[in-house]
Amino acid sequence: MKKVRYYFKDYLLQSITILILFASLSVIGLLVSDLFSSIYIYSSGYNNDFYYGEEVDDSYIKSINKDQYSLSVDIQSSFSDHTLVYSAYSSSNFQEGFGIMLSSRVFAKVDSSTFKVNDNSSSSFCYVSSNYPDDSKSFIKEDKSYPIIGTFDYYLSDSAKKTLENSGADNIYLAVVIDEKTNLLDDSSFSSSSKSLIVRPGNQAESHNLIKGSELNKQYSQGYTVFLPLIYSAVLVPTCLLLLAYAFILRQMSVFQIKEIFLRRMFGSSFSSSFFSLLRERLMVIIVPFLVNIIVFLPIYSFTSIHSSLTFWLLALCELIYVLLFELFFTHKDIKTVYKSERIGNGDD
Amino acid sequence: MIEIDNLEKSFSNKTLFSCSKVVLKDQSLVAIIGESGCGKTTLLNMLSLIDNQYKGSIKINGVSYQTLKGKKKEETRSNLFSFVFSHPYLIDYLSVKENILFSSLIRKTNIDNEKLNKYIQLAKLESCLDSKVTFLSEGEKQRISIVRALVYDRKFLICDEPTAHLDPNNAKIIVKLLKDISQECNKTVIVALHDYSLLPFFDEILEIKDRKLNEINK
Repeated sequence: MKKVRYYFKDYLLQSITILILFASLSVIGLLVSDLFSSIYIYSSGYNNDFYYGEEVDDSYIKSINKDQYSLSVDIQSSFSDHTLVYSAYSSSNFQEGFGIMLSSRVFAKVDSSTFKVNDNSSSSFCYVSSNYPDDSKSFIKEDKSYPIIGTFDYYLSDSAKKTLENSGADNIYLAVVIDEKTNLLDDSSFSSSSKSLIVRPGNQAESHNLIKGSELNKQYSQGYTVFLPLIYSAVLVPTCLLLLAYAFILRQMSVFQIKEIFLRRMFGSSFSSSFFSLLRERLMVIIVPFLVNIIVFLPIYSFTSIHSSLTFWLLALCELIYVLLFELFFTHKDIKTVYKSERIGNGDD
Repeated sequence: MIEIDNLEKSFSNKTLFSCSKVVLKDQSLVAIIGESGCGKTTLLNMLSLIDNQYKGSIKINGVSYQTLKGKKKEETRSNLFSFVFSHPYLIDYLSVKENILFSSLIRKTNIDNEKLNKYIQLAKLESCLDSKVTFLSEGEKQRISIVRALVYDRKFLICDEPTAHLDPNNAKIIVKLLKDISQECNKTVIVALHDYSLLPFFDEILEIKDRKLNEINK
């Protein structure tokens, strides 16, 4: 503690630097997560963004049929009781280990008395989100006053179709999921085709092939192959530079005193004893920024719908592993420098 | 007792110095003197088991440790020798007393208070035990480092130019202190230095000159 008090400013500066590193990595993590969500990379075919972010709990997923990309879903949304959530989702050709799944959501607010939905396909009622829940949210807010009349049927607007076609999907599936709170839908006025699409909570969604886009898919895949290294370099290059800068800066500002290790050697402290003593001292500097990073970023990851706390924990684990490896390596190197020296004393400091 | 026999130290096939025979008695104050770069520190390193790359033999109390390696060598060295350098290497955030007790702090061993008080009195450090070391003079700092080495309580005290950064008066105080230590604390104190004016205090003098290590009669 005496040492901490004596070198308080140095330790503080070091801790702040480490915090900046953690925070930068967390922000990069957020950006990467956004980036990959927006072009959706998920080889299992399950799109986490399928749901309505914070308002729909992932734990309600009952099963996922990865082959069919069909879902059995219980949704407990915080929408009004009479909200229908249509979800059109597409499968894609998975190439080079990565797949893209562009989820398109259609939200419709249903009148409680009629349960009828406008089927005017030319209206802006159909909305294809860009994988950002906020877009969908704003849509719902803006469309609260939308008149809901006519018979229920699913459709995709031209713009929605275009978006899905451009995604390179070769199959489009559609499911209609009803709010669990009501679990009631007067479908007497629905067309037979739309009735078959209705998924009651706990039931399996049927899949319906809407479009074939193999040609588009081919074109898209080619474009994507070129795009992928760009994404990697956009993320990895600054991250690596940041890690290198961190290593350099932290080495410069270390309060590590070679004379202290040197004295330990002179006074009979073993290599391992000095190593663990110095490592413990250095790790203490990491704990506070690591905890602060968790306190600040965990809620951000948890409460923004497209990120999950799991992403954050994985990132935090990576950060911790990096710093631990960094400290282990340099602590060992520093101790070795002193202990393996064939010359002690004058000139070593 | 340290016996040096047919010793030759070379770097890249170039002889730094050689010595036919020298014996250093127990409880004596020994000076190793010579020009800068002649090999004084190298000789100290060889005597204190740090450097074992040489020809000939160095026996400490009749035992040669030249073949020792790694952990065993490190342990033997730390069991036989304690050190003082030209820089006192004090820990800034510790008080004078804590610096003195550094070896027992890191090894978590107890110290004989009677001995400790004796060393402190010898070095005349009673008045500044609770002070921060940063505010002390170079002479005081060097005395602290000597007491710290004494607290480690090894048979041999190796001092590599302990007066190098001191004015003549403080240098004299330090050498007198080392003399007292060799007599009152039963230690063999080996000191490398290049200040010939301090030689009258020493019991034995080794000089490295013209690549030869010789004992000088006082």
